[in-house]
Amino acid sequence: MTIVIAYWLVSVPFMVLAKQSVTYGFLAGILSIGLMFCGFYLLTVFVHSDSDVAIPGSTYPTHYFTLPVKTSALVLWPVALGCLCLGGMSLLMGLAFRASGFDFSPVDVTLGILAMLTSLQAIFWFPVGISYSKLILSVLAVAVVATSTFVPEILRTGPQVREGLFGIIFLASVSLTWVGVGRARAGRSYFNWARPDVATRDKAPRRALPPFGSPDRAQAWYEWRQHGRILPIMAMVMVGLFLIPYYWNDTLSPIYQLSDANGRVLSVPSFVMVYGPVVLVMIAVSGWAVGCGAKRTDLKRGDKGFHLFFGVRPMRDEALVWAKIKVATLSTLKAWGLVALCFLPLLLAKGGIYVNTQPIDGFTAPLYKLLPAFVSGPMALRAAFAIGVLVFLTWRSYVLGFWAELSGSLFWRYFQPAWSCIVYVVLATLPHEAVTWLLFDRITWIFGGLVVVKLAFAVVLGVRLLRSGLLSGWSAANIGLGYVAGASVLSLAVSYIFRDVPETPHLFLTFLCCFVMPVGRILLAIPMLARTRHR
Amino acid sequence: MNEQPVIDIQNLSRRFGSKLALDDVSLEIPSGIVMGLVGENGAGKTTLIKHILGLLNAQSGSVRVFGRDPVREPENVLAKIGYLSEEGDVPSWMKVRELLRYAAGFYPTWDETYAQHLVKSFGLDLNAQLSKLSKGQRSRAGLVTAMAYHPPLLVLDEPSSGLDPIVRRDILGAIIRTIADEGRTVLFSSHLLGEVERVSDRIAIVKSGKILLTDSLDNIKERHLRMIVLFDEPRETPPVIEGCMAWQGSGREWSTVYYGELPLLEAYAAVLGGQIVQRNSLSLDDIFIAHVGAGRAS
Repeated sequence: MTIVIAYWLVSVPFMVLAKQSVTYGFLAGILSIGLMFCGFYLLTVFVHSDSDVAIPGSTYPTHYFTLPVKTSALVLWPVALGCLCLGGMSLLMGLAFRASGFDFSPVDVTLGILAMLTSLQAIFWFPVGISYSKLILSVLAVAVVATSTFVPEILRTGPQVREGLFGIIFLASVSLTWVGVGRARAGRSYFNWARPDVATRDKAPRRALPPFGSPDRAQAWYEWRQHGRILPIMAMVMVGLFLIPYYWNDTLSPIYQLSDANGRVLSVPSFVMVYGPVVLVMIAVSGWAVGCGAKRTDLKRGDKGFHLFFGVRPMRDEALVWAKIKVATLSTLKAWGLVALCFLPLLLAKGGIYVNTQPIDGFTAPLYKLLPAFVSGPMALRAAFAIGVLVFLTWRSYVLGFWAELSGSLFWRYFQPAWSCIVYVVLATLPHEAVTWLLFDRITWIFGGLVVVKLAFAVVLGVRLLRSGLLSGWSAANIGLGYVAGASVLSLAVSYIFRDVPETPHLFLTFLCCFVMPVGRILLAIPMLARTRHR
Repeated sequence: MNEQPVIDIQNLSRRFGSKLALDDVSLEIPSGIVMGLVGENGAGKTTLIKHILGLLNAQSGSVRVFGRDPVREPENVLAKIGYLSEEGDVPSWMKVRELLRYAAGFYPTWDETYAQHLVKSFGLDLNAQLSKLSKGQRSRAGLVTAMAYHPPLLVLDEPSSGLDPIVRRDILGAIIRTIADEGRTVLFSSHLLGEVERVSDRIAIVKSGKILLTDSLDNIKERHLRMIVLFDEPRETPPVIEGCMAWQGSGREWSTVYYGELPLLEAYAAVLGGQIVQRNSLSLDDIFIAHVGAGRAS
C-alpha cells in the first residue's frame, strides 16, 4: 500500500496540472499504468515468497509452520492482507480509468484481480508434486481469469455472471490454498500419485554429471538453474496458449502496412493480428518479472553486504557480473528462438488478400506463399528492427533487477522500480494522438530530458565510485566510450532503417540512447558489486 | 622462524556507523596451527573473519592472507580458503550432489574421493535437496564443500551452532587436528570454549573489537591461576593489583584470577599484608569469564 500511495502522490500533481487540458482523461488513465507494475510487485510479495518457483512442493515460507497458530490463520491472514493491498490498488486504478472516460465497474476489476491473486496463491502454496507445474498452472490461471472477464460479452449476459465467476474462482482458490498449506505443514509435500516415494526416489542410482571445466561455467550453471531457464519455459507456455485459438479462427484481418503498389493488402488470421503482438510484448515484460532481480529476503535483511555464498567464491567481481549477463543473454535468445520456432507453423496458415477492405475470393493461400509479394526490403528491415527491440527489451528487463541487487543500496533497490514505472508511463503516453498533438514539438526535449536525467545519475554514481577507488579512471573512460560507441552505432542503424520517415529518426535517436543506458549501467555493476562485496 | 604468516593483520580498525567493531587489531597466524578465536556475541569475531575473506574492506590498517590483499585479489586468496559460515546459507533449491558439483568447479584441487568420504562420514544423502535438510545437515554439506579441496586455510565461523555434539566432537575435532597435522592452518571461531580448548593450539580472546589476549593455549593456561589470598586485616573492597581479575570474597579471604608471573603477585600481596594460601589451574571457560566478565562488571 505504501507503494500505491507513493505512486499516487507522484501522479496526482500531473493530473492536477493537466486537468484543464483535453488530454486529462487520457493522462489519468495512462498514469494508472504504473499501478500495474505495483500490481506485479504486490502479486510477487503475496504469492511466491523467495522459494524456487520450479520446485514441486509448496513455496509457503516453512518457518511460519512452527508458529503456534492454526493453519487457517497461516492461510487467511496473508490472503486477507494481499486482498486488502491489491484490492485497494485495483480500486484506485479503476477509479482512475473511470475518470479517464472508460465505462466499466471498478468493483469488477477488483474482483478479477483478487481472483487472480488467490488462484496464484493456491498454485504456489499447494504442494502439487510436479516440477515446473507452478509456472504452467499460473499462466493457465491468468488465462482463465482474463477469459472470464469477457464472458458476459461472449455469452451475452449481464456482468453478474462475470462477478459470479470471479467469486467462484476466489472461493475455490482460498479453499485449495487452505488444504494445500495444511498438507505442506503436515510434511505431505508430495502426492503419492505424482512422484514415487521420496526414499525410493533418493536411493535410485543417478548418472554423475561431468564436473565444470572452470569457475565461470560453474557460476553460469548456477545462474541458469536459478533464473535463466524460467523465461524460455514461460515463453513456450505463453506461445502454446496463444496458438490454441487458431483451431477456432475462421476470419482474416488485413495488415495495412503490408500492401503492394496496386492497393492490395495482405490479411492474416484475425487472432494472430489481435493477440500476436500482445504475446510478444508479454514475453518482453516477463523478462522483467522473472529476471535476475533482488530477492525480498535480500531487500529486507539488515546486512547490505553481498550474499556470503557468492562472496566467498574465488572469482573476480567482474566474473560474477558477467555470469549473470551471459545467462540473461542466453535465456533471452533461447526464449525468442523458441518463440520463432513456435511461430513458424503459422506460415502454413491460410492468408488472404484484401482490396479496399474487401477480401478477394480465390486468393486464399498459405502465408509463406503470400508474404514475399508484400514484404519489401525496407519493411523486412523494420520488422527485424522491431523484433530486435523486443529482444533487447527482454534482455534489458532481465538484467534490470540484478543491477539494483548488486548495488547493495536500498535507495537503488526501491528507486529503480519506481523510476522504471515513470519511464514506462511516459513512453506509453507518447504514441497517443492527443498527447502527440500536445507534445510533439517538445518530444525531443522529453526524450532528451530522460537521457539527461539518466546521464546525471550515471555521473553521480561514477564520481562516487571514482572517489571510493573502486572504479579507475581508465575503466570509467572505457565505460563512457562503450556507451558513446553503442549509442552511435544504434543511432546510425536507426537513421538508415527509417531514412524515408522524416520524423522518426530524431525520435528514435533519443529513444535508443535510453536503451543504451542500461548497458552502461551494467558495466557500472562491476564496481558496484565490488563495493557491496568488499564493503 | 622467517616463514610468512598465513594471516597477517596489522592495526585493523572498522567502524559501522557509530559502533567501533574492530579497534586497532593486530594478529598474526602462522601456518600449521589451529587458532581459536573466542569472544562474546558481537565482540567482532565475524567482522574480523569477513576482513580475512575480503568481504569487508579495511578502513584503516592492513589485512594480508598468504601475503595478498583479499579485497584486491579475491580469486587468488579465496581459492586457498575453505570457509564455513555460521549462517549455513546455501541455496535451498540445490541438491547435495549439485552443491558439490558447483563447488568443485571453483577449485582445481577438488578431491572427489575425499568429498565422497566426507559425505559418507557425515551421513549425507547426495540426492537430498538442501531445503529438506536440517540446519545441522546443511552445515555438514557446507563443511564438505569447505574441505574437499584441501584448502591451506580453513576458516570456521561458529560451526558448532549448526552441528550436533557427535559431529562436533568426533568428526569436526578429528578433521581439524588432521588438517593441522598436515601443515595446514585452521581459524576456528566459537563461543563453545570447551571445543576451542580441545582442538586449538593458540587462542585469541576478542572483546569489544579488541584482542585482549593472544597466546598458545599452554601458555595461557600456565599463566592464569585462581588464587586465594588471605590478608592480615579484613577488607571491604578488593585490592587493586595488576594482573588480578574477578575478585570475589569478603573479610580477610579473597579469591582472584591472576594473569602474570607468580613471584610478582606474591610480592604485591605481601606489600598489602596478604599471603597466597591456595592456587589452582583454570579451564579456558574460567579464563574467558575472568577477562570478559571483569570488563563487563566495570
